[in-house]
Amino acid sequence: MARILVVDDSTTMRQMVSFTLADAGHEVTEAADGAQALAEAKGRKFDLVITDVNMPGMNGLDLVKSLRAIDEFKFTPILVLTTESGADVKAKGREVGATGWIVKPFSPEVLITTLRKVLD
Amino acid sequence: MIQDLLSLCRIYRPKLLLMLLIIAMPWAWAAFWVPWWVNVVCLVTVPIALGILMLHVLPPPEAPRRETDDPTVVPDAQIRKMRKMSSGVHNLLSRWSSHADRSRSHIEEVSSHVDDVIEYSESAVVEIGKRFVSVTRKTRKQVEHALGMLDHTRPDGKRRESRPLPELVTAYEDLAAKVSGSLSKVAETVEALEKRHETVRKDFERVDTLLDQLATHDGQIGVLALNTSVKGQDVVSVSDQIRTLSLESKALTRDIRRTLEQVRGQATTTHSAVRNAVGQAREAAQFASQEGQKLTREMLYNSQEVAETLSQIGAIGNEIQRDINEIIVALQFQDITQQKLQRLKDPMLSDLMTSLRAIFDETRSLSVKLEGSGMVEQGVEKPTKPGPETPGAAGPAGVQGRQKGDEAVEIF
Repeated sequence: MARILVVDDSTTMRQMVSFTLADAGHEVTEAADGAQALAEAKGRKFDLVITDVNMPGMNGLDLVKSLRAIDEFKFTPILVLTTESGADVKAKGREVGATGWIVKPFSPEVLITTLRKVLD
Repeated sequence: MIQDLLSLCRIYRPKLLLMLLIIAMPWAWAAFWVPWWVNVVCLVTVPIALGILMLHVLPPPEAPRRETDDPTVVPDAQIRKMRKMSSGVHNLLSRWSSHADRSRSHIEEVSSHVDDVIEYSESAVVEIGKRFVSVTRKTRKQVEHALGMLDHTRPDGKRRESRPLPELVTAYEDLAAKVSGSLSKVAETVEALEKRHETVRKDFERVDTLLDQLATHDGQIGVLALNTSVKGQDVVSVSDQIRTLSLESKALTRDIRRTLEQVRGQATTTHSAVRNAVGQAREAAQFASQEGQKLTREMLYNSQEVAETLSQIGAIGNEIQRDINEIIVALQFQDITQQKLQRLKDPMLSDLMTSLRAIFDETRSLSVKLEGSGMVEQGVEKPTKPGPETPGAAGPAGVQGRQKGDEAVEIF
């Protein structure tokens, strides 16, 4: 069982991800935007972070950058779950330190498989 | 200004040539005596002079009166104001037209996306509905399988070939009780055998005692014979003693024989009892073995049926999981489309609102000017500002109810 932080401004999407992860036996914490996610990250330690890109305020890529600046999150896997699938934005994601990229809509099996790969 | 000039040109068209000749006459007279550049300057200044003349010097020509015309005379200044106003109205209308065109294209785009969202939502709802129905049916099937397993019936309602587990457990208990009863009888027999063995042991002790007595008699007879030969005892006396000893020995022998007969009887009884006990034990063992094998076969068959049912329930569970996954994907599609519309809607509606606001401001300003010019009657309905009770009334349907502070949709 892993502790996972899920960041997405869409409640529906957050709940779908949480449902899938909780069903697989993981402990999930939700955040609606980058600022809230950073606040959660400062108080607790997570084994994995899953974030959207397009969010109000701080976007997902900025969040990844900010998380990588925290010592506890230097080596924590961070997956980006977004509708964006362009090569340039993916390259930006890799540049700021994202571990993986999943394009929405996601299949629960694919999410769980990717998660296992990343956690192993 | 240029439009005014053009309008005046159209009005003075009949006298335009004459006016041009009058203005150009001095220059025409001197044209052959002045340098070329003076001619150029004159050519440029003549139309300018003509314009100034028409705009500021000459009175506006009176249009031929018609019977329907207002008999009151309209002052020239008012006519000029009207021209300016007309020009303003024209400008406003052209801007309005361009804003309206742009807004129309935005609204069409938003409308197209709204159609997409509605389509996606409808298909998502239909898909989710189908999947829910499927999940419900499959769950009911699982429950039926589970209940069938408990009732020991097949999915078609027929009774299964093997006995149900509770009956098998009861049969095992019965078998165990029977085996236990048989073993109790064997135990009783063994206990009886032990008692008989004790009796036999006592009989053998008695035989030992009797044999000891016989040996003593034998010793006494030897002593008597020695005394007779050595000491010369009376034969009659010795003979009496020997007879006595002989009688006692005979009695002892009889006792020994009787005891041995008893032992033989005990041995025969014991043998029979042992044979019976062994027979009982064998029968019990055979019965237990046969019944046990039968029950074990049934148990095996039963557990196979249970495993089969559980496998079916598991397979249905997997199908349910797939249905739930499809529901998750459908919900995501719907959510993604909705988010796209949200991102598109705000800037476009904001632009539309800004345009409408600008048009409203200009309309109001023009209205005020018209009212001030005295060219419209007092009391004409003015464009009104939407009140706070009708937020977003100028916006397209479906964008009302915005949150306070949202600049994009707050009209005024």
